[in-house]
Amino acid sequence: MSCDEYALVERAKTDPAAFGILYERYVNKIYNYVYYRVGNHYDAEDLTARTFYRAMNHIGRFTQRGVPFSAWLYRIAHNLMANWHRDRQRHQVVSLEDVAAHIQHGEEPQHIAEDQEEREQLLAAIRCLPAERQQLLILKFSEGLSNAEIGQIMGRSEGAIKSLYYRTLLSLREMLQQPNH
Amino acid sequence: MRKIAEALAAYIDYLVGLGPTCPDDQQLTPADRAQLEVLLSIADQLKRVLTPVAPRPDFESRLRESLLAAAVQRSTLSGRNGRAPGLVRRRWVLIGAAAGSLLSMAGIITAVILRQRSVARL
Repeated sequence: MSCDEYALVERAKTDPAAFGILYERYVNKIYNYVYYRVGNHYDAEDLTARTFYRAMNHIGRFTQRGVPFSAWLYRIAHNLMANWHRDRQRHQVVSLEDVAAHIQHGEEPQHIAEDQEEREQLLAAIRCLPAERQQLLILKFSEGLSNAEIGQIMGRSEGAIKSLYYRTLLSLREMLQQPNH
Repeated sequence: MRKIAEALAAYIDYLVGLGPTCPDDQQLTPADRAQLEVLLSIADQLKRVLTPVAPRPDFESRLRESLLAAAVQRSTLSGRNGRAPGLVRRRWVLIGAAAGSLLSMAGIITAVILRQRSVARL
C-alpha cells in the first residue's frame, strides 16, 4: 500500500470525505468482482453497498500489517458473497443476457453472433468452478491485478497463484471438452 | 508441470497488460508445448469474456451519497455523546479486563498466604 493510500485510510477513520475518495477509487472494482460472482445487477448492487457499509463501519479496525486496503475490501466482499451463497443454498446463474449486453456494446453484429456460444459455454464452465477459482479468474482477467495483489487478497504466495492458474485452466479445459458443455 | 505453469502465468500477465512480451516456450518439450497451447487458447477466451462491468452511474452516486450521510451522522452522534471511537473504546475494555485479572490474581495470592499463615499457627 502506498504512503498516500495509507494516509488516506488513516484519515478515512474519522473523515467521511476521505472515505468518499476511497469509495470512488474502489467502487467499480468491487462491483465488477461481485457482479461476476453473483451474476445479476440487482444482487451485485446490494452486495457492493453492503461491502462499503461494512468497510465504513469497521475501518477503525483496519491496520496495515502488509495487507493493502484493496485486499481488505475484497475480503469483505468475498465473505459477504459466501454468506449470500450459503443463504440461498444455490449458486446464482450468471445472466448471460446481462453480461452480453455489457460486453457486446460497440461490437459489430456478426461478431456478437459468432462469439455468443463461446461466451455461454465458458461462463457456464466458470460457474461450475469452486469459489476460490472463480475469484482468481475475475481478479486476473477482469480486474487485471498482479499475482502479488491476488496473493494478498487470497492469502497465498505468488507461486501458489501461478500453480492455481494452471490447475484452474486445466479444469476448464476438461469441462469444455465434456459434451454437456 | 512447473515450467508449463510458469509459461502460462507469464502469458496471462502479458494478456492483461502486466507482462512486457509474449513468453518464450522453447524450453518446453513438444508434449508440454502442445498442452500449453490449449491452455493459452483458454486464457485468450477468458480475457475476451471477462471484460470489466461497471455499475450504473445512478447507483454509484446514490450509494456515495448515502454512505457519506451515514458517516456524517455517525461522527456527529459520536461527537455529541462524547463517545470514544471503536478502537479507543476497545482499548479501555482491554485495560479494564487486565486490571480485573490482576485484582483476581492478587486476591487468590492473598487468600493462599492467609491460609498458609493460619495453618502455620495451628
